[in-house]
Amino acid sequence: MFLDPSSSGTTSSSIPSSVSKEILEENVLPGTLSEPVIAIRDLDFSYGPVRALKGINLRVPKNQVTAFIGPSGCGKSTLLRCFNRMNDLVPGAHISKGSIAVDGVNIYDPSIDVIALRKRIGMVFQKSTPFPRSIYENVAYGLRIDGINEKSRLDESVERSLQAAALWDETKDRLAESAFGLSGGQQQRLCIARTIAVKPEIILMDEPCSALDPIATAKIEELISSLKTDFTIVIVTHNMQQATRVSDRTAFFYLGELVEENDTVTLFSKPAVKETDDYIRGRFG
Amino acid sequence: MSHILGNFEASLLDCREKVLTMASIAQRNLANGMKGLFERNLELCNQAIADDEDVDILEKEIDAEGLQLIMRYQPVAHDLRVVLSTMRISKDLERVSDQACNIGRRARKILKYMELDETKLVEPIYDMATGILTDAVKSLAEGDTELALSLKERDRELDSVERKLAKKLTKRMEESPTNIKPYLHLIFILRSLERIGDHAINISRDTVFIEQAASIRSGDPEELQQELAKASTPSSATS
Repeated sequence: MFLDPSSSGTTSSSIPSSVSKEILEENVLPGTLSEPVIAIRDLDFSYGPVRALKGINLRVPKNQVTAFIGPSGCGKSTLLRCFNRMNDLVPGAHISKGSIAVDGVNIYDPSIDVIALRKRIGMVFQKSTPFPRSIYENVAYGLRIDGINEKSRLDESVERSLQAAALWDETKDRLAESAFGLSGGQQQRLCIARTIAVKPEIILMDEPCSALDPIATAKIEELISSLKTDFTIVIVTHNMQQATRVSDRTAFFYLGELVEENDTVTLFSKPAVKETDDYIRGRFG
Repeated sequence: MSHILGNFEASLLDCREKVLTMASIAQRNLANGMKGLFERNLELCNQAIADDEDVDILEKEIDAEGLQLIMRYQPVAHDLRVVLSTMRISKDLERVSDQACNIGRRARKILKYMELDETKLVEPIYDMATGILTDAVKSLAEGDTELALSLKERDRELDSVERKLAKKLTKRMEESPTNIKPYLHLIFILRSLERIGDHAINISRDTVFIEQAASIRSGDPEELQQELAKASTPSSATS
C-alpha cells in the first residue's frame, strides 16, 4: 500500500485533503461495466503562472484502455504525468485546484509515498529508455530496487514479464546481452516488460509507438489489447487511428480542457461536441 | 470548416457531386423511358437505354474514389458516413437507371402494338415513383432528414397502387388474349416503378444515416423510432 488511506489533512496545493471512496462508488461509468480506478475532479494544473489544465473531470475505468487525444499542447501528456506525479519533478508545476484519486485515495495527499505510487502506476515513454544493462537486468531492475534478489524469483518474474510483453520468444536465448542490441520496437516492448515486472495496476503510455515502424507499432498495439485484462491502461496518442484500434474509451482535450469523453466507437462515429468533430475529421486549425 | 488536407476535401466533394450528377442522369433516363411509352416515341426509349451507360461509368468512378478516400484518409464520423453512403447510394442509382433502361426496352416493344388505353393509368404511378425519387435525392442534397423520413409512407402507397393496377392489367390480359404481350410489358414497367420507389427509400435511409448516424435499413417503424432516439441521445460531453 503506498499510503495509509485513513491519513488526511491539508495539502501543499490546497487540494481537498482526501477523496473518499464515494468517488468510486457513486458512479459506474455509463456504457461500461467497469468501475473507475482513477477519478479526476475539477482539476486545474499550472506550470508556474501558466494554467495547463482547466477544470478536468474524468473517470478512468478499470481494466480498460483509455486514449487521450488532442493537438500538441492541449494538456493530455500533462494530465498523464499527473497520475504518477511525474510533474513533481518539474519546477513550478503544481495542482492549483481539484484532486486526483486512485482507488479512492487522493494521490496528492502529503502522506503519499511517491515511489510506491509510481510502482503502482507504471509509465512507458515516447522514446524507449532501456538501461545500459542486459535484457535480463533491465526487467529485473525494479524488482531488485524492491529488494528482491532471489534468483528463482527474479527468473520467474523476468520470464513472465517478457512473455506478457510478447518479447520472450525473441530474447530467451540472449537474456545476458545488452538491451541496446534490440531493435527499437523490441526496446519499447522491453520497457513495457520492465514496467509490468513490478506488477503495477495502471500503465501510462505517452505516445509509445511514435518512433516505431508499422510492424513494431502493430506488436505494441496487440500487446496493449492483451495487457488490459490485467492492467488499466491510459495512452496518449497523436495517431487517431491508433486510438480507434486500441482504446475502449477516448478523451479529447483542447487548450487544457477536456472537451469530450466517451466510448471510442461513439466518439469517432458521432461526437457530441463540434470541436471534437472538427478535430477527428481533420477540420481544425 | 474545411479539412486540413485540401485533397481530401476535394475528393469528398467530387464524390458527392458525382452521386448527384448520377441521380440527375438516372432521373432523366427514367423520364425518357416513360415519355417514350406515353408519347410512343421510339427515340426517347432508345435514349433511356443508351444513357444508362453514363450512370454505370459514374458508379464505377464513385466506387473507386470511395475506396481511395478510405484507403488514403481513413475518414471518421460524418465523413465516413458520407463515403460509405455515397458508395451505397450510387449502387441504388445504378439500379434506378437499370430500371429506366428496362422501361425503355419494354416501352419499345409496346410501341409495336396498338396503343393500350390502360397505358395512361400508369401515369399517376410514374408520378408517384418519380416524386419519391426526386424527394429522396433532394433530401440527400440538402441533408433534410425530415423529408427523407416522410418518404416511406409514400412508398407504401405506391406499392399498394401498383399492386392494384397490376391485378387490373392481369384481368385485362385474360379478357383480351391477343394483347397478352403488351399487357405483360406494361406490368413489368409497373414493377420497375415499384422497384424505383424501393431504391429511393434506400437513398432516404442513407440520408438519415449520414445526418443522424441512425441505421434504419429494416424499415420497421418501431425500430426506426428506437434508432432515431438512440442517435439523438447526447453522449457524455464534458466541460
